[in-house]
Amino acid sequence: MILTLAMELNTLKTAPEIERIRRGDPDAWDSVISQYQHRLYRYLLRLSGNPASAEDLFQQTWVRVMEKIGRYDANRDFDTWLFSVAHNLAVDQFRGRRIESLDAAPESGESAGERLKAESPDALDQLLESERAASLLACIKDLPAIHREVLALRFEEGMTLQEIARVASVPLSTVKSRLSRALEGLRTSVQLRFPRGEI
Amino acid sequence: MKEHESLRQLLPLAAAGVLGEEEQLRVERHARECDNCRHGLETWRALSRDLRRLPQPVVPARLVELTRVRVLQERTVAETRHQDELLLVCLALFSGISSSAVWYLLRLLFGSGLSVLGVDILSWTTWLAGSTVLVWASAAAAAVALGNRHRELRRALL
Repeated sequence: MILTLAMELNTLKTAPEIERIRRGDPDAWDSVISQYQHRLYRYLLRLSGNPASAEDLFQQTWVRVMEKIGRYDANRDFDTWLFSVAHNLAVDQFRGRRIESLDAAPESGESAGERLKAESPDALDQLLESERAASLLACIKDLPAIHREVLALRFEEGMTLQEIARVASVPLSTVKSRLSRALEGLRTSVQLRFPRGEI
Repeated sequence: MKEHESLRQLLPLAAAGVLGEEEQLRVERHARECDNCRHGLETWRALSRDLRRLPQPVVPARLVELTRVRVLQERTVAETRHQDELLLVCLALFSGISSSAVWYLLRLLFGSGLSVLGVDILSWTTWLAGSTVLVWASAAAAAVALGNRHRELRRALL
């Protein structure tokens, strides 16, 4: 609910900026890129599993947005359109590559404990939660890119199945089965990595 | 039993909150009556909850600034290319019109025939063939020159 509200507020806030970009105002770019930086980078990082690829795709996505903004239908949701542009670029980049090779680089070398503040009163809880999340991230990296993508779009972006279908340009039934398989795959990966149920 | 199996398969989607209202209610009603599915649904819900709380990656410093600069540079290159394309079209139109005008003037001055090396250059077909070759050759030369200019501009900007 909160996530949906936040997304709607963000869309309302962004709409005039998008209009300025469409009119060719160069000053609007800074604001729009800044507003979408976290979500777009996170999506591309989850999809590629590689920070260098994510950065490259991030830049390419905005260049493509600049090239195609004239064809963007203002009645459509900008978020979905932006993510579909990013999706298509990622597909182009990964085509011909082995998906597994995209998973080589770790997202961050920093341990969960290092990210904690020692003075925090619930440091142990934070540490446990942080380690649990890091373990889950490791399991997600075992999944194929299309499954990582559907999980990111559903659980981190809070998109509906219809929106995910528009981003990935696939039928609704495909998204549904993809999400189901992604969750099954993730659970299997968790059980294989942590057979004693640590997470 | 068959219903149990089909509803059990829907547990991950129910936990993800993507089922329709009716399907969601069916799954929840069944989970209340079936210990196995209730436990399964709780597990899937816990996994879904964890997926919503994954650590957020930090956007690399200067990525936004680098992207903004790149977008504006690419925009400059695209605008220049667009202007050049427009210029080429205008030149082609101008050469077509001027060629027709010259042909018309020469026809007025020399009448219907002006022979050069035994070829009537004022016949419509000869004039059209000659001017087409000239226009295409000029357009090709202009395209090469503009292509070089774009490459230099791109090199200078990017």
